[in-house]
Amino acid sequence: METIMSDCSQQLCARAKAGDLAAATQLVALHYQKIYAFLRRLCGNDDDAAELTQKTFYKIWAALGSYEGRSSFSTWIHGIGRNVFLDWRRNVNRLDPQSDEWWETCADDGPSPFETTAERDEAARLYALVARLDDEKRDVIHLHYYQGLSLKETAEVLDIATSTVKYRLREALDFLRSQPMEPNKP
Amino acid sequence: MNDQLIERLLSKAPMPKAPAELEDMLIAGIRLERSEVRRAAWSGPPSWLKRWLPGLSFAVFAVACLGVVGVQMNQLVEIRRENESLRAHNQNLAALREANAEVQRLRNENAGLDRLHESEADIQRLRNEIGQLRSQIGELAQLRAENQRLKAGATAVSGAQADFFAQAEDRAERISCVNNLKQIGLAAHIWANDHHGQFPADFVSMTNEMVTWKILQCPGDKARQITSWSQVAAGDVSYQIFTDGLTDRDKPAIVVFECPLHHNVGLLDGSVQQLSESAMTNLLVRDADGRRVFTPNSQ
Repeated sequence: METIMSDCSQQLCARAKAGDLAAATQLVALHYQKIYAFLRRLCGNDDDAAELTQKTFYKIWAALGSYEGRSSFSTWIHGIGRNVFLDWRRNVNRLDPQSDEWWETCADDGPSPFETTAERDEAARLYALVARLDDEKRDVIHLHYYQGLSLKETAEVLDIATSTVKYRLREALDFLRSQPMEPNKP
Repeated sequence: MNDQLIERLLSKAPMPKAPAELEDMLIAGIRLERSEVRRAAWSGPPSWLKRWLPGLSFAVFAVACLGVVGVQMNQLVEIRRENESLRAHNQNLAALREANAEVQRLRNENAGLDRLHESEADIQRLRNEIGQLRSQIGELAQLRAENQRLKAGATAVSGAQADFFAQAEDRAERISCVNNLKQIGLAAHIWANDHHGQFPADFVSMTNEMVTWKILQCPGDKARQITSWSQVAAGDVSYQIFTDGLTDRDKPAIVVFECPLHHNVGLLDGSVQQLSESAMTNLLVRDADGRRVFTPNSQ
């Protein structure tokens, strides 16, 4: 599914580089949800996430000519989105903590991915622990688990080696496993 | 909680829903550039160069390293060759040392010969100096004889010189004696002028008219030494006086004073005549009163 989508994105990208507005519109429709979700998890509020998403796509169109297809289009735009977020955070210098309620309200409209209420509570506590990780470990968790990128794509977005991604994931999992899972407060 | 559960829960993380109007805003914000326009501007090095730049850099570095290694290998070969050459030379080193020792011995002998030659030259030089000294001794003997002869001649010359000086001294004494007689005559005339023309009977009478008693001492009279007027009063003077009864109106040529040593005579008119011993006899003629009168035309 991912490979088919990637091939489709490559073709649309080639057409958009040639000036095809319809192809660009299809690229937006394919990727804006994932980029918004990625930035929403990072910046912590809806307005900033929407603004950062617009900035990300503005940079995508500006740099579309330099995209050569060495990495997948999804990887490329995640890299741009992450750089936009880093610039924004450097200027704003704040990061809103995400409340437990946010995880409940931000879920898909469809059926819950969690099988039981207990699992849902554990997930909420786990996501709160992820927010406490340092930047390097949190980035690999977001890209690899939340965004569903492969280890190689995560390494390309972060411009580091794949082995480094594995190491950081192992460090993050060790941290999460070592933390006690306290029940939610009533 | 194990790793599988953690990874499963992380993978099931809910995806935040984007606002409904965001898609429209993103579509409205699409700004595409035509690729032809973009390609017109230079956008850095070509893609193949970007792709192969690390490899090319490594290749250039490797070639440079190979070049350095090649140069060092070449130097190593040259050093080995030179080392072999030095070893070959080293084999002949023992023979060279022996030859060097022989050369050193010959040099020492040569130095000894040089010293002998120098000694011989010194001996020859000393011999020459001895010959010169001998010839100088001969010359010295000749000079000594010449000196003796010159000394003998000088002795004769000094005798003549002594005679010459003795004569000059005698002449000077005679002239000084004439001066003394003139001063005495003048004093006598002054005294006579004060005494009605009558001349003094002795020298003591006219002491006031004489400047000093030294004019009464003849320089040639070495046996006498007048030191005061008292000696004059005692008659201890070199000259004789003949003024008994004389006045300035008598004959001018009458002898008044006489130096018996030099035969100088002072006349009545104040003049002084230098006479020899024979002239004393021939030119002094006694008049009727028995006084001696100088008569030059008497001969």
